[in-house]
Amino acid sequence: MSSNIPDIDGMAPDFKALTTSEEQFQLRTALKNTHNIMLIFYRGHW
Amino acid sequence: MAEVKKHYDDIIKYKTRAYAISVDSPKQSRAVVSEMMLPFDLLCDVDKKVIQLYDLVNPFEHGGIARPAIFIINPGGKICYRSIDGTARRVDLTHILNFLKIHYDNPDLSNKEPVDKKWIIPSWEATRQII
Repeated sequence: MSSNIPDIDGMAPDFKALTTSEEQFQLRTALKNTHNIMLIFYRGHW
Repeated sequence: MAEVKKHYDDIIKYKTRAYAISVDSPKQSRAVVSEMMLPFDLLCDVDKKVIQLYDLVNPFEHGGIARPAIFIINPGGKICYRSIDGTARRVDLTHILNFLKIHYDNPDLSNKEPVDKKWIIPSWEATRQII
């Protein structure tokens, strides 16, 4: 099965999402703080 | 996420910040942060655009939720570590911490090694939700 999951050595697709305080988070902006970002996808709470 | 919380001081030490993302609303996510006393923020992909962008939609649960996965992205935007996980089989955080330690001294390094994974035993609370 083909997959379009971003791979190692590729650029992480930029995105925007809301934080818990309903502020806008943008990946590209967060990376400007010169640290790595660990992005954890999780199933969520239901 | 509990393991990431437990080792968050080490993660910070290696110049890394964590964000966890799901399709939960900000209100649901606030409850998770509060219950788990997480030291990092949660992101809310309510319209599922991010999980679609990263091709991580699990269409078989709850109308489409995120498939568990972890990416480490360097300040240049390059993915230097990734683990695509399952519901019950997840990356061993020790493997990530070892990578971060090496990466700290070699910032251009990407992980080329197979990712160590381990089975996780769901809590009774999670099991009850599945049942």
